[in-house]
Amino acid sequence: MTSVITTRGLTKQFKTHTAVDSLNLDVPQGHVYGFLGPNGSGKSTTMKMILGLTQPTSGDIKVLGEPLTRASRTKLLPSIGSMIEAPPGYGHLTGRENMRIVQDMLDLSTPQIDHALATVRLTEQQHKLVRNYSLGMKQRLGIAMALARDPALLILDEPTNGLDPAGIEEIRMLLVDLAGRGITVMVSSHLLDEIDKMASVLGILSSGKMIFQGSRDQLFEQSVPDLIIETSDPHAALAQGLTATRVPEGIRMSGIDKDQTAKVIYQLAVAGVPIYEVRRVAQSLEDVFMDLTGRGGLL
Amino acid sequence: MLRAEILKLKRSATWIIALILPLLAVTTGTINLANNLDTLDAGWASFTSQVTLFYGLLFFSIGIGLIASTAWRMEHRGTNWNLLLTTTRKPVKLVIAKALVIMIPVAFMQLVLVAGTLISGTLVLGLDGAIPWQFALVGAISVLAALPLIAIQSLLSMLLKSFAAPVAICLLGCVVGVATVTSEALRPLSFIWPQAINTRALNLGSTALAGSGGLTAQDALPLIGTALGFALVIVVLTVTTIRTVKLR
Ligand SMILES: Nc1ncnc2c1ncn2[C@@H]1O[C@H](COP(=O)(O)OP(=O)(O)OP(=O)(O)O)[C@@H](O)[C@H]1O
Ligand SMILES: [Mg+2]
Repeated sequence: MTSVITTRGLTKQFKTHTAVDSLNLDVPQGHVYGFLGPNGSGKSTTMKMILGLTQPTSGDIKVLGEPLTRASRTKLLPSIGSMIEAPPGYGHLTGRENMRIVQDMLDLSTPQIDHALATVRLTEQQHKLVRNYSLGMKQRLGIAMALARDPALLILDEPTNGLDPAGIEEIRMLLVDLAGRGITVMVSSHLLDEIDKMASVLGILSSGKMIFQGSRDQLFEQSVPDLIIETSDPHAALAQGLTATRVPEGIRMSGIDKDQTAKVIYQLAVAGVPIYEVRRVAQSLEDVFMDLTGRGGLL
Repeated sequence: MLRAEILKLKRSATWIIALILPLLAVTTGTINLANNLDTLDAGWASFTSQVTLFYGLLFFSIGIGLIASTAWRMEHRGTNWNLLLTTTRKPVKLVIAKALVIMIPVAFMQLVLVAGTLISGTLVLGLDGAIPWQFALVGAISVLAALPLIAIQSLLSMLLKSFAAPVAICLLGCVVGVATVTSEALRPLSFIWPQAINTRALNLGSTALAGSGGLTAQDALPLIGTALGFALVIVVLTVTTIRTVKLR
């Protein structure tokens, strides 16, 4: 798996504190990479450094196989579509005119512009002034401006901000589709659900530090969900000396793996405790995240 | 790149500024002349001198400050700087394109001044004598002479998010400029002080300002030469500033 973005020891220090702390990022080619973290955890700062919009205090960045320098940045820019923090756009111009600015800056063709506008379903509203756009329309325009250049890499910072559920679903499908065509997409969010549904690789940031990077499955492996043993006689079960808590349907046990589970079932069965059902609790990404950080979730 | 910058001028307030300031100068010049016909009795020469006096000392330079601030203000909005920096391949092209695009309304401002003056002189004041077409040349020369100030105001407006701050600095520069053209001792400075260069260019051939020089190649060319050289230095400085400050 080739990496499209690689960072080693990437650090950004502002006067008072470290916003990004020794980040080792690996964004694989042709995937949607979900960059997750609470407010102020350093997502935007990291993305800005990758785009050369702000200089790292220390560390190395490689983008599309090249170390990021002033010279390589100029060469790489046309292949990287981006939107950081909020969608850009000149309010006194129409959506179409904004797209023509991008067209002229990057020498794009008119079909590329038409196609990008159609992709975000803005063709109908392209002749309206951007200052009269709704938040969702501005967001779409921002994405169209990033898409028009047919990028090899797309870096989008919270692209679904302000979109309605149908719009979020559209963008999600769009990004998955782009990744299917070999485009690498790095997308940040603090909304777990959203990322969970589109990203195949996740990077989780907390206070500037990477606390997890890998696939969704690997993430779930990091934390074992609680086991629920449904029984009509929880007293008998607890009398076996298990570390468990009582729940309405029986007992609940934390942090026990497959082997331990087999042993517990055997022990209870031998002791004649009636077991109706043994199952793991359904675990959301949020549960995993809380488990991982030991704090109150992402938002 | 230049096309993109020109597109941004569409529906922009720069045009209003470029329309109002010269019309103000023509109006005050006309009123001034009409009220002092016995002292200002040299016809067209008196009239154009009246118009360019205050315009050259103040209005023109302030207009440039306002237009530059307006041209950059849109880039400071929201995340437009991100867009600008991720679509600009060469900062030097951006700097030159912005300067040229500020120059367009500035040139329009001069067009309004020249046309307004000639129209008012003919129709309102009914001045005798041939229409002084060389006044159009003064208008054109002053657009070139304005390049250093355009470059400086563009740099300031790029750096400062505030709309008013660069204009205030420009106004201070005007005050210094007035001192350099009116004081005998400071006069040499008026050849290198951006606002004063504007004043000198607009008053070429004027009868209202002492030591203003004639509308001759001998007086105009050094002025234009200095202006071009000066502007070039500021452009280089601005490119360096983008590299060090904006791509920090
Ligand atoms: N220019 C700056 N000067 C000083 N501190 C900054 C600057 N930019 C960001 N920070 C700080 O760096 C930290 C990370 O900010 P960043 O914007 O990267 O977070 P984020 O993960 O994108 O948050 P959000 O989800 O709210 O967008 C924050 O504590 C922020 O205050
Ligand atoms: Mg952010």
